[in-house]
Amino acid sequence: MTFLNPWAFLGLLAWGPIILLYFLKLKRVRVTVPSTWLWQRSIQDLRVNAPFQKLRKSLLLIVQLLLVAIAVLALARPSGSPTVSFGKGVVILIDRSASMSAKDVSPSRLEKAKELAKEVVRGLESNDQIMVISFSNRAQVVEPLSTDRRQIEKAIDSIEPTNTTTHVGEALQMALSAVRTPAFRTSEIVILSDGQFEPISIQTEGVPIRYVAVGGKIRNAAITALDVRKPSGPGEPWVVFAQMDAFAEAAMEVPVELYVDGKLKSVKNVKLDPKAPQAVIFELKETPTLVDVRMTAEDDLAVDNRAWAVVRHKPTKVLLVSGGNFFLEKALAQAPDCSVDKTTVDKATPGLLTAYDAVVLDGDLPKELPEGRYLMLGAVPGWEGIKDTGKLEAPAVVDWDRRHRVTRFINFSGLAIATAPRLQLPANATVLAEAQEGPLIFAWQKNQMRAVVVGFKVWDSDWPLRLSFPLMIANALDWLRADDVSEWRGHPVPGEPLKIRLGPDETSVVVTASDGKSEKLEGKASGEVSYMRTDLPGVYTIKRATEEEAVALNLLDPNESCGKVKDQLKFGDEKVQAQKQVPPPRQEGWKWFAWAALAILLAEWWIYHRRIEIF
Amino acid sequence: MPAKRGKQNLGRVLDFLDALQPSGETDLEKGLKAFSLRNSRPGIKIVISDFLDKSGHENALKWTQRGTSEVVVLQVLSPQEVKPEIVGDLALVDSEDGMMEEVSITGSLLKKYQENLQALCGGLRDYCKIRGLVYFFVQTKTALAPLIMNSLRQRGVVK
Repeated sequence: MTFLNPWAFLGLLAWGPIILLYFLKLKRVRVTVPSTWLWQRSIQDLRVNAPFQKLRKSLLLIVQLLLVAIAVLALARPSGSPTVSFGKGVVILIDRSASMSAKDVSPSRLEKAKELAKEVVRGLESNDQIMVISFSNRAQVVEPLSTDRRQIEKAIDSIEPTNTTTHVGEALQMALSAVRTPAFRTSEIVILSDGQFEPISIQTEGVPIRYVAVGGKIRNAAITALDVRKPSGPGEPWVVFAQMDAFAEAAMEVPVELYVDGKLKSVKNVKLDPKAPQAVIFELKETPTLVDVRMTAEDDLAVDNRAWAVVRHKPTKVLLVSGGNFFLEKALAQAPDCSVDKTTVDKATPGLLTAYDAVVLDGDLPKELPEGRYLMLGAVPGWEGIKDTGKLEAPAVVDWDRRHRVTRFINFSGLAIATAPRLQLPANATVLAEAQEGPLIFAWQKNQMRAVVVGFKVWDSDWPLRLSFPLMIANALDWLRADDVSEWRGHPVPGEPLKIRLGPDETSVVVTASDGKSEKLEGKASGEVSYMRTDLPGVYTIKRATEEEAVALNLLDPNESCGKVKDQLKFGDEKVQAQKQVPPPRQEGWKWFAWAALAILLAEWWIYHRRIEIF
Repeated sequence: MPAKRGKQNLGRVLDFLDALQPSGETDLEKGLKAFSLRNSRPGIKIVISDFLDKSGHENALKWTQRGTSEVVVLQVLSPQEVKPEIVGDLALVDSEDGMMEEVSITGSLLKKYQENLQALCGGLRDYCKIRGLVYFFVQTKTALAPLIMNSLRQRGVVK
């Protein structure tokens, strides 16, 4: 048995005053008896038999001393040893990302995590220092290192869910720096999460990590992508692509509603297969400005049931650097919101290239490539880590990334390619389509620079004749211009700062969030301001002096929507298995001692009135 | 009261006894010795005492056996002494010598007191029986005169 509050034993000092008061307070009543001789004899007889008779004379004194002892024991919070002991410096990390709002465990994953966190706190020693950090796309210290249990539990209760993605790295770094001090004899980090976050390369350097998995079997229908395409030709309709996923054990049939500019335009009942994402396509005759897709069935996670798209009618400036390519020109003409200029490679100076939002390089590369956004067809840049090691003869596409914005909605099966370079790629490249022998198409990203590279020459394949060609060109341009703060914000996600570039004569903008709250942001003319309160998904408006711009913030993150609970986390080389339960808190015994103290108090009262018949 | 003889004096003796008030210290042995030495003629000797004497009763009572007297021993105790109804932390004052004894009355003390009292009375009764003395135990709430007369008649001490 251990004591959570051993200082309470100082309370035994109360014995001193009780004994003192006992001797001081004892005023004996005088009673005249015919003879004291028999009494003297009886007392002597008893003294012979009982060495502690002096103390036994007062049962009440003993009872009072016992009462103090029991009360002190209760205050000392006696406790059985826990099955697992936590260290002395403990950091509790609580995941509050979008997926933690799932209701597959009652009342929600986050609430369950908070309960488990409080159980962890209750299981610790009274002098253990506890820190609480909540994390989603960024980390927040909810309670710095403290021993105040009440304050810690209050801090845990205050954690609110977010609609954002999950990044545990920052939280883990904070936790490690907090416990990696010589002040702690031992330390531990406890992560309460569903484990849906990026792989962690951070080395824990011996700090033990406990991963308490929170979540059950989810039943969630989610909108995981949304796109609006302009008509492919005169008389053709606008097309809304919504990608939907069923994260469930069985197929789900859900109603999907399409709202355009606030008005309900169409409702579809969609049967979702849990094995693969499904495209839901709506066609529109009129030009939309704001598209709002809603999945109205009840499921375990609400945040991914709705998505918005703001249709920009301001075209993206695209430069085609080509010696002449009919199919490419036609595909670019079909790409939504683009104005295309054409030039040849010898005229493609850096100054010209930087004047465009995206540059399409067909076959040949200019001598100098300034920072920008590039779609390269049949040309591989010599950037760091990219190597052309040979030639592939008639490679067949065996797999492609169906979720990447460049290759979604695309079907590469059956594509015939004559030759392609054999490529080796660096870590910052993402393979979009690959043959058995190696990558064929990849996306590359570094700082503000982006590129989509198609390694093979498109005229060495039947791709230009396929529907997937113009679709991928449009997708690639869409991805290339995304996050370009100067013009395009692409697809900002909740929780990330919304960067707004001010105009040459502009020093302030007013941003109105999707909940209607407005904030004025001020900055230098032609400078950049960031709007931080982007936790809610929905449509945000940026009011400038001359115009008003709408921006849609959508979660659209299959990692958050899938609701899978990882049963193992990897930290560097270390693997941590999930545990579903927190070790049971110590069974504190103070209540039993408090009850015993009450019983003794009652016994004292009884003895006071009876006095005798005890011994 | 000086010694009286004859049936006509019995009533006066009993009246004296009824009116007798407790006072002063007692030395039972000294008193009985003095009486026995002065009154050696045959007769009935009645010794009335609580016999709560620190020096015991044996040395005292042997003086009553001098001569051919019929000896009646009356042990008189108050109900308080027979069954004390006192509790708590007390200072007991001896009514004879004024000595104070501080006691905390507990169940075990009362039990020991009863054992000692029974040992005292039993010892006295056995002593009397062995030596042919008539022994009576009475409580002070009992009127002494009728008791003595009745008891003496029952025992055949008087007719």
